[in-house]
Amino acid sequence: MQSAKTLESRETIERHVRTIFERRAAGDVPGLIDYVAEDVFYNVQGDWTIYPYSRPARGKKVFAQALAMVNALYENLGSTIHEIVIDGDRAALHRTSKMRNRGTGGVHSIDVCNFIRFREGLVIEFSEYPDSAAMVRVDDQ
Amino acid sequence: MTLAENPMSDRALMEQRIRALLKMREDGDLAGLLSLAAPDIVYDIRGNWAAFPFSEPVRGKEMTAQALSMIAIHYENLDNVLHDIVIDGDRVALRRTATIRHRGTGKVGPVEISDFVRFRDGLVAELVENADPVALAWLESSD
Repeated sequence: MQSAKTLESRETIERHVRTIFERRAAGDVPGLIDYVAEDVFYNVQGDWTIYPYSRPARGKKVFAQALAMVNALYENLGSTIHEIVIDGDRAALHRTSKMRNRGTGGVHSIDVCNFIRFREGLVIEFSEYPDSAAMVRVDDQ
Repeated sequence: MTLAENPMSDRALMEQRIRALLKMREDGDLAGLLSLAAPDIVYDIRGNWAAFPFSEPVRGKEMTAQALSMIAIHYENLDNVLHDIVIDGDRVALRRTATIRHRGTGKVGPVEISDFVRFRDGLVAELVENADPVALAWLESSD
C-alpha cells in the first residue's frame, strides 16, 4: 500500500483512522505503520503496569516494536469505534476492543480512547488512554 | 447568557465553557456545573469503574447533580492540566491530567481522563468520562 502524503480533508482523516484500527485489529503492523510518520510520538497514558510496552516512545521503528509486543501478548478480536471527533489535523475517538490474552485465554472488552494528530496525511502523534482495570481482568488467570 | 445572545462563535463558546467546567470542578462548584447542563443531560462514566462511587449512566440534571455530589464526597479535584481539546460541530473531546485527592486516604495523585462532550444550544447535553481506574484504585487503597 502507498503512504498517504496529501493534505487531508475531514473525510480522509476519518478514513485513515478507521483503516488504522482495522489493521490494528487484524494484527497488520506493516499496514498500520504505512500511515505513520518517521518521527511519530507514541504516547501511552495511564497505569500500564500490566502492558508490555507502557512508556511513551518516539519513532516509527519503536512504535512498530511496541505494537508487535502487544500483538504477541494479546489477540485483538475486533474493535468497535463508537465516536470520532475530528478538528483539523487532530482526531479523538472512543472505541471498544475485544482482547484475548494468548497466555490465559481470557477474553474481555476494553474501552480505549485515542487522540491522534496527523501531518501531511501521516500520524505524528498516537496517544492511547485504555481502561487499565479491564486490562488487569484480561490478564487474570 | 444564551447562545443566541453570545457574540462568540459556537466553537469559541464551547471551548470557553469547557475551561469553565473544569475550573468549576476544581472549585467544587456544583451549582455552576449544573447551570451549563441541559435539562435532559446524559452523564456517562465508561469503563471499569470499580473504584468509583457512581458508575452507571444517568439522565437529567437532578441525577447528574447526585452523581457529581457522590463523586465529590470521595474525591477532590485539585487541578486539571488540559492537554488537548478537539472540537467538531457540537462535539468536543478533551484529554486532561487531573490531580485528585481521595478524601478517605488523603492520597493525592495524577489521573488521566478523557472526556467526550456534546453541546446543544450552548449547554452540555452529554458528558462521557473515561478515567484511569487503576490510578483511582491506588488513590483509595490504604497501602
